[in-house]
Amino acid sequence: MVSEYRPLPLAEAYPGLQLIKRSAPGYVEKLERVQTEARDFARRHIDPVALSIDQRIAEQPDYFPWDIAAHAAEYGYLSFILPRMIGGGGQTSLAISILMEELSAHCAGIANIIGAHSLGLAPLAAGGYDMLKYYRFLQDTVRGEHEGRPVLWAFAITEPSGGSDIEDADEVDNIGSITQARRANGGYVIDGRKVFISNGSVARYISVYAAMDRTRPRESMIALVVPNDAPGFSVARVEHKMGQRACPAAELAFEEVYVPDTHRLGAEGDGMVQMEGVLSVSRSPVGAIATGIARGALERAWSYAANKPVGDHRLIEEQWVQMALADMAEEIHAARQAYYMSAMLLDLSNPLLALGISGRGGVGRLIDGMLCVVLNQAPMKALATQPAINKAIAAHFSEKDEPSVYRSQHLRSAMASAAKMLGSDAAMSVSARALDIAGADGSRHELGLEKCFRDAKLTQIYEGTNEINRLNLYKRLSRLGQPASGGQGD
Amino acid sequence: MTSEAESALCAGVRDFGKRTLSASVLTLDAQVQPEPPWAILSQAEELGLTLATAPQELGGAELGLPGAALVVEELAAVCAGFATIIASSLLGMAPLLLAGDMEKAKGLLDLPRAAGATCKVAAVVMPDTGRPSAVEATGVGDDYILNGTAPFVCNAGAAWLHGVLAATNQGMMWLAVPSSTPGLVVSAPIRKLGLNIVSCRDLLFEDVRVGPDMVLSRGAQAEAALRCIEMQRQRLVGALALGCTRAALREGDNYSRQRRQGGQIIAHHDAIKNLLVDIEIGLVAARALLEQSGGAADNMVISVLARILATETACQATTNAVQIFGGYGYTKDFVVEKLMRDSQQLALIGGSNGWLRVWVAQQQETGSFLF
Repeated sequence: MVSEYRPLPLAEAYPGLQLIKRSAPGYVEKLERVQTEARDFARRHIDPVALSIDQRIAEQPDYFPWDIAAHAAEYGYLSFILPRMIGGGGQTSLAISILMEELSAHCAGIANIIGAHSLGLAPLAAGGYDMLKYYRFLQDTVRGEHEGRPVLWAFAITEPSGGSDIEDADEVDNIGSITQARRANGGYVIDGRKVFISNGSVARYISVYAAMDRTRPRESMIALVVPNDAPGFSVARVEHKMGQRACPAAELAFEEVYVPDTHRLGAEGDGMVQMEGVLSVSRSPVGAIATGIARGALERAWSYAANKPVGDHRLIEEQWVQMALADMAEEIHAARQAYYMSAMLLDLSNPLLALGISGRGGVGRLIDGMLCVVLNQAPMKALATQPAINKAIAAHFSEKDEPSVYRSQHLRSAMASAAKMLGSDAAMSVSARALDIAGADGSRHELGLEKCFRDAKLTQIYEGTNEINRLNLYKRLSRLGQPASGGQGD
Repeated sequence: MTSEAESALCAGVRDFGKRTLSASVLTLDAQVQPEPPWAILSQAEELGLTLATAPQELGGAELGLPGAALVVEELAAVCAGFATIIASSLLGMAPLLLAGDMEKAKGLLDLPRAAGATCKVAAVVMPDTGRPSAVEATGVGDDYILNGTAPFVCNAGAAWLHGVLAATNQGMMWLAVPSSTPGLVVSAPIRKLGLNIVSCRDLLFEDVRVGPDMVLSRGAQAEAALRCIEMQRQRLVGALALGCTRAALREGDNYSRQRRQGGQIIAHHDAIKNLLVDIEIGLVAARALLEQSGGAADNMVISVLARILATETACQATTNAVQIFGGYGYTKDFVVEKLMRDSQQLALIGGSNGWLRVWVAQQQETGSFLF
């Protein structure tokens, strides 16, 4: 009898990777390393503290586990998605999704600190990496990581009156009092409020979306980086949440906050397209977080049932328990395939990476492989600000030159929504089923199962409620289903 | 008790819920070290809720099971935690009342007054439905020595009296064990998912010696009492779940008429209508089944079926309610967050639904399913 449930290694969890490994061993080996290291991180730094952090924040909502963030920095998780040439991990969408599943199986709140941080950095990529402009931010982030001084980011779109609306391009114009940015003195002045911002109260930098014209937010949306010491910026409150407590959700107030032009991400009016791009990148990691929560619930319930004596036998010997465990494993399997598929689609739309995957990635690997050890060195800065390099990196994150994937924007967004919904529904159903197996015992805090259940619910809500994702899936599929002439871009 | 008297009591309970209970719901839930809400419990006692099922000669309201279920449902529609304290107390008193010895019952009911306590909150110590008892009794002369650990006892630490089901080498017996009995050790309150104001603890019996006067029933009488109390437990858990479902529908409906997204109140979106009507379907179905089970004197099977449907409905309904509130529903500022945890917690009382499905099938010989 197996007394605990060990998670499958990568090649067994998603056997398709064994095929990919034949043409792109590097891509897969990197993923395997990510998984191994994440399991090590979780065992050393999450398991011993996850429950006590959850409990502490229940009593003291503004507590933040900075030591966990520092450990995450040791593992390179705060520069995980940044290009290697500026000292980042150069990791793929699939890699961060795998990281999210692994960490969430132990604590989704802690995983979400890293997830929300990466989300905050994502617009820098979505806007095209302009190294000259973003160098200060990126350098601060990467150096902070090297020095054990976590520099966290947050991504701020949700507003008090615009939760679902602001994530839906067709509805964003209906928001009355949207956060506004206006031009002033070689920069912008921001006014408004953002709510439920993950990492909002602890982030050094916040990627904020605002409308230049409140009557036309869709066309006038702009993304700006706001440092947390900008005058007029304040944390209005930290929410007292049901779960995922390690990652604070904060309400942020912007009162006449000035930022210079250099803090603008992309161009004026690009905001909505950028936001949609970021959301299609961020939803498969949410599917992965949810998959991880479900897996954590399965592992805990399995161990409980295997060790629980009931009369003359163990609970796991009862057939109804075996049926339930199998159902749970099945849901987790489906959810995992969905986010793997979605994340791989994102990686495929990355031209340099696609070349790498197909074994023709000379240039891409060269650029991606230029690792800068000492970030402050002038030659590195000079290199990073060369227009040619900028252009190559910008191409790295855009698909303009890739006609074979011209429909991919809709496909990626559709698959990301499907992965997010499948994962979050599995997280809810599996964690409730896990509680049912263990009965009243299962609701004890020490077992960690009730935390899985509380953590799970948020995955049906954030990154667009599942209702918004259903509508998005419909919209994207309806465009993909049109004749080819109508399917090109937005 | 007549149905008019029942509805009068229900009206009183509704009023109590609105005036006294509702204001404290979120505060009580948020307590770090939960204390039983004694002040509110005293008022509930004045209203007659703690003795709702006791006969009039004991000062009770003499409600039958359907009446008690109505009271519990009304309370749960405001706070499932408070309703669970009352329901668990009624169950704790049940072995005493079923024993039929009024003198003994009077003596035990006077214990809290003698000890200076005001509230007659009881607790029942019995295993999950269909599982073996964790407490064993060994006869020593006329006395009994109790040993074992009863996990997750609702009201433990708050109760003055425990109705304990114990296994002996000659079958089962029910005993009354006052909280002051030496050897009875309560653990710290269990940190759990929901029903925060209910004090749930593990109860350790370490050579607890009780005299023959504390024996309430044994043998066939004890087995009959167990069947009856099992049915009460299922019925009351079902009523608690129904209350939660009502609350989910009320809260979801109210909020959906206020919150605007997509240029209109969200109640006008089909996505939200589906969530609300799913709650309504469950509510109507669960209520119908619960009412069907409530009338029958010895209808364990329907009670279990009703409890399964009612608790699963409550879990889905309260999850839907949180979804309607979106991010706000995930915060402690709105009661739907508590509703969702409470519903999931009470679905685990007395055995989980996966196990109860197996157990209820075992109760039915081939051919006796309810076609």
